Amino acid sequence: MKLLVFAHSGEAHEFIKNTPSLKSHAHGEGRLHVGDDLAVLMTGEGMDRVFLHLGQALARLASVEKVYNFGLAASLIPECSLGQIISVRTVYRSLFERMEFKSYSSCDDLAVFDCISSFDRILDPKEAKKLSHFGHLVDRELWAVAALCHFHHIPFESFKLISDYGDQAISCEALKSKAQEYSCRLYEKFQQTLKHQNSPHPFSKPLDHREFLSKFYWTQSLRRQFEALYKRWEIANGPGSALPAIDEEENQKLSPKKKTIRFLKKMKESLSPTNSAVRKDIEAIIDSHPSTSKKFHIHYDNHLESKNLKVTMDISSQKDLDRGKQFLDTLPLKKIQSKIEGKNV
Amino acid sequence: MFNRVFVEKELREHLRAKRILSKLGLQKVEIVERYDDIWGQVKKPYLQKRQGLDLFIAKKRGQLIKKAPAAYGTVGAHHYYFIHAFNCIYECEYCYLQGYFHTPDLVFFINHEDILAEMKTVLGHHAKDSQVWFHGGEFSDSLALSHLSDEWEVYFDFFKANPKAYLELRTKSANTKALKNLSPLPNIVVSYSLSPFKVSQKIDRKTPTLKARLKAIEELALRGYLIGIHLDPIIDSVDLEKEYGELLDSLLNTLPTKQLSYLSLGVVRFTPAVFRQVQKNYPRSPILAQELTKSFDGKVRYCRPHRNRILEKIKTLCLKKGICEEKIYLCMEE
Repeated sequence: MKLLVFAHSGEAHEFIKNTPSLKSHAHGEGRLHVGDDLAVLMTGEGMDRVFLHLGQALARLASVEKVYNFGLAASLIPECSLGQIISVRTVYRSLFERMEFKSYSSCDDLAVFDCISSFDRILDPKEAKKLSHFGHLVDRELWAVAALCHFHHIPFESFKLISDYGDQAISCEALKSKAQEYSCRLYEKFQQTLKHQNSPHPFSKPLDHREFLSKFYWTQSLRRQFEALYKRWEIANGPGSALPAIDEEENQKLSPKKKTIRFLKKMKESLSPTNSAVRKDIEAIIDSHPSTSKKFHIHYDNHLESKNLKVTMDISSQKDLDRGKQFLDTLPLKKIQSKIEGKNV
Repeated sequence: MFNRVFVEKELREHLRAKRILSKLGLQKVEIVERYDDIWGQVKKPYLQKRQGLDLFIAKKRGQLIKKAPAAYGTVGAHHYYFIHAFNCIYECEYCYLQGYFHTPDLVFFINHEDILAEMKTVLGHHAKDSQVWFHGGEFSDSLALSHLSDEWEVYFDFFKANPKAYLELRTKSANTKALKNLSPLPNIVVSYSLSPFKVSQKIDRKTPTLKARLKAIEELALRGYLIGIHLDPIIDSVDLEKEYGELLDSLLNTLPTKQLSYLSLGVVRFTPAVFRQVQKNYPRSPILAQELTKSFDGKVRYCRPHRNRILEKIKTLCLKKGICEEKIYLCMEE
């Protein structure tokens, strides 16, 4: 679902009029209208109201895939002139005497203008000048919209109609009188944007391995591991390339979770052949050491960085102690260290 | 060239500031108290550099010369780096600047006399027979915009008067214009970072091509400059030896070995913050398919046996091609 966020009802008017499926949400206090695949929220002016009402709306609407913010902004530079509709690139926040460090970027890669959200209307030319060092437009809400989207992992876009200049005071009444005209213009922009976004994305591609992956058991953490490995897999082997083959017969003996772990291990080995080869070599050296057992064991650095070895010995008798001494005397220290040094890999 | 140019108030009448502005042909600049009232005050996404940068002309304050980390330069010498600028016009996918500063905007520091005075102080702390290196280009390419910033003349004068001090200008640029007007010195080395053609083409975005860099090396060598080479970052591949063999052949056809001052080898490595930025900025980068692991200290790199194997292979190759061992050092490795 697309969620369209406005500060004022006047700006949202044309959107509501043209979307008959929109119905007032039972708990939306008249601010939230929900339709088939579109919802409209009117937050009221200022970042505090956005935090309150958009926060509630995002909690109520579980299926929001993208947030669009439409509204008015003042221009700080001559390049953004009255009446223009600007897609915002990055939004910053003014904190009276200083700027908030944290910023958020929209998902419009082609946008080139930045917006600053301010707690107050900017009427002082000096203040407007100061802000122009950080951005091109000033509004009252966008930073809060973007912060909530970031928190909920929802992409956003923002379109601002330039209604005035930052250093020239314009009355709220004058803006209200043009609300319907502005709403029409913003609605047109939304229609154009949708048309553009519905054309197929040149880089999008489906995940081709659903059937193959359904053979495995997935916990959240295993899925995360797979997703991280799959990103590398695609870069290394090309998009949609075949995943490592699984030996069905061997896998039948394993529990579903172990089957998945083995599959992920295979992916890792394939993506990290050098690392895997070194580990295999070291483990072969350890296993071939005659005294290695559950009681006497050699541990090497898991990061393959340190040449130090750790030896654990479980000693409960004189016999164990003698065997332990022998175990240490014959420790394959140099062999293992030379593998960690990268010799004969 | 720049979206906007900001000049610090106390530098607005400074000759260097005026010269830079006249080269840029700018009528209008923004005068600000201090560059860092704006620069770095907000998190500006790194890739916004593609849509243009702001330039700040400023005074470098605080520590002007910093001790370089261990294994930064040739063995047995003292190494320092100095900061003449922040940020870079290039866009190498592995560049640590993307996770280092909070903005891609450029800063030219123009109080070079202060930097040179601090170099003089540092030199005074070392025995007269010790080799002290000052490296430029740590936070910005040394030559890429040197036709504008035009700072190297005063450094050449300083190093001429202080022959026991050494200057390294690190670069990937083919812009040798500023150096052509200066006389080479035996204690000044222009050093180039090189990667094989195929790698460079993919990940050294917006940099001069390998061919252009080799051409620049050739021109500088012909003029008598000493050249340093950084084969860094080395990124493993199935054709590693073949690719580096070809690179070394092209290099040695261009550069007489007597003018090769040193050659450093370093494998690709990242701090966690920079690696996160690479993942964000270049999600399809071939670097991300490499066998990099999060190491014990949080750094992301090849594991030790892998690194050593790569470095050994390339070092052997260099020796085979006739580069003498004393000129080779391993960068940022024990």
